[in-house]
Amino acid sequence: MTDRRAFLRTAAAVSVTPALVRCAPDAPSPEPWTAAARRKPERSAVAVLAATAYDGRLVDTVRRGIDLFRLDVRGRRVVLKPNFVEYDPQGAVNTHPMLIAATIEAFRSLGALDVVVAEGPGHRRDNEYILTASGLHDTLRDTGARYIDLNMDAARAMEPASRYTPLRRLHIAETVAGADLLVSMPKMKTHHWAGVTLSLKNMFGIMPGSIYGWPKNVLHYAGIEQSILDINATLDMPRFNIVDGIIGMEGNGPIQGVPRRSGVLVFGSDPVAVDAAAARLMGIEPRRVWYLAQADRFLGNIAEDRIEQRGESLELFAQDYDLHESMLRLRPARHSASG
Amino acid sequence: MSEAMINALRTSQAADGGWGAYPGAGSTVECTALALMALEAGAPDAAGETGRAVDWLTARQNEDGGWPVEDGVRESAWVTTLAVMALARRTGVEDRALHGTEWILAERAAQVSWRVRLREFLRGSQVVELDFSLNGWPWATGTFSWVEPTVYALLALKRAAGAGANRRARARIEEAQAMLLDRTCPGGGWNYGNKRVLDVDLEPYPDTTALVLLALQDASHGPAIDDGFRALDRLIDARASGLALALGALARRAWQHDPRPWTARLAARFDETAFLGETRSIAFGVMAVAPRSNPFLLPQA
Repeated sequence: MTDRRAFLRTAAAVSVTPALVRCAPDAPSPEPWTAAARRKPERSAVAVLAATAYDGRLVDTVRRGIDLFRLDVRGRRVVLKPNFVEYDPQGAVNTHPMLIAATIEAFRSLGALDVVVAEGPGHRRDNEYILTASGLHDTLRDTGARYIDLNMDAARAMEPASRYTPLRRLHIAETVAGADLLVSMPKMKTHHWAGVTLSLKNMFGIMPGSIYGWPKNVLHYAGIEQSILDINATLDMPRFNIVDGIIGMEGNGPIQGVPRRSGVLVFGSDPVAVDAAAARLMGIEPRRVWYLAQADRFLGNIAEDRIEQRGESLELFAQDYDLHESMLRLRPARHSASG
Repeated sequence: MSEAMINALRTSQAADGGWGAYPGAGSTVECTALALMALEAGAPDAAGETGRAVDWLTARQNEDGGWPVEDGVRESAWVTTLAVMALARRTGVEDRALHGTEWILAERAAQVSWRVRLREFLRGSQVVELDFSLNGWPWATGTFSWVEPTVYALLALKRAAGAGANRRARARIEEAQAMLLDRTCPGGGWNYGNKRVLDVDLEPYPDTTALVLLALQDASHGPAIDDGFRALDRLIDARASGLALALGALARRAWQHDPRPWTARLAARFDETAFLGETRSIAFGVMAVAPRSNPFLLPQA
């Protein structure tokens, strides 16, 4: 039987290694990100809009959410990145195809040159299965939008703009790297390793499986939360985010959790601020999610007093999602104090 | 029956001689190797196309014997297995396949990461219920063993080495087969490679279940095989894709089960969806129905 104290000492020693890598002599600054990666604005804005069902009214709701940010997409190539990590007939794993259809229509109505749907599912390689089972295939047919399998897309090698992982190159799917506007469209879910999976974590799907594997094990070895930071720091194109919180997932997310109705969509250009708002909608303190707290240092804002709330009041929709036992520490202090 | 699929493959070959994931996409080693194997099985008159594919593949072999996923990525990776399957036993490139086989034998999956071990230790039970001592092949060097790359590595070694496999190859084959059996989902079948995570049983997938049945086609028959075919029947009955039907029919051929119920559905499915134009699915479709053998069907003992 392993001696627990000896094991923990060894593990602690091993855990120092990534830190040593980050502090290599050629590091440009004591912080693990480059000057180019520092894009935290003074203030961010997030819009929360009520959406009770996956139906035709979503087009108006999405259009209203986009209008609140006055995005100019005329003549732009817009890439929508939903979350189709797996297919689940209960409908809580994937971004709903009706929301994707509404978003395609909304961006087209704003003059986008091209709107494509692009995803690199994390577990399954059978696109025909995922697309037809989920209903996304019908959406694509009805809207005439193209689907790009990012797992098999050509890859653009990029130097990471932050050094949270030991990875010295990131291979980003070319469709995403060449986008004029990247729209992250995650499902609002808890995550049993990372705490939450939202706009930032959704970017795992832009890393081609042909290089990173199914699951994207290279990123797991590099550290899930660290990889989230390096990937998002490296993406330098304009971004927008729409979180599908009409039905979210609580408990043992991102795949084995339970559907939870929140009746809400979250919009914003700062993915960190959007994710912080979505975390609060799930009863999670964003500062207790390690990668969100790190992202707040250079990528975006999580502090409430730095986020302008647009649309409706976040408090109206906030609920305490059930959390996996390993993630109970993410509750705000009021929960901890009461035990 | 396979004419439409063969035509789809022939017309989607890129100008450089390779195939991409779908028509117009950049050529990749995986798609080129699969298309090459499919045309050789299904289109004896496609010598021009297959010759250019062989040239495309051999031009991209790394000095270490492996192949990278695509142009622009340097490191040799899991696709080496498919290149070896496509080139092994081919006159004039035997040394290429042999060098690739050596790369496959040298490639070992990493042990589970310290983060996972620490998490499990602190939790007091296994987060991911697997026998971590069993090693197969990873998608990328330095990471964990998963089902699909292990299947291709097994088939490549069995095809390239055949009965003459040396002791080292035989040991890797035996360990990897044990690894696949350890990854069997409760109730039968396989997914990407996890059977139970955080006390929750995971479901098998049809495509990976069929792939494992192909990898184990020369192994001794046991309950995992029967359970695997039952899982495959159930999954394909519930919802079939072109890829699942193609691999399912191939697995049935490998185990001398009648593939015709699924090959008939395969043709109907291609008429309906054209498998979304995906080279991989179409290539497996051709191999499922072509009367000639292919590298996914091992010689009978």
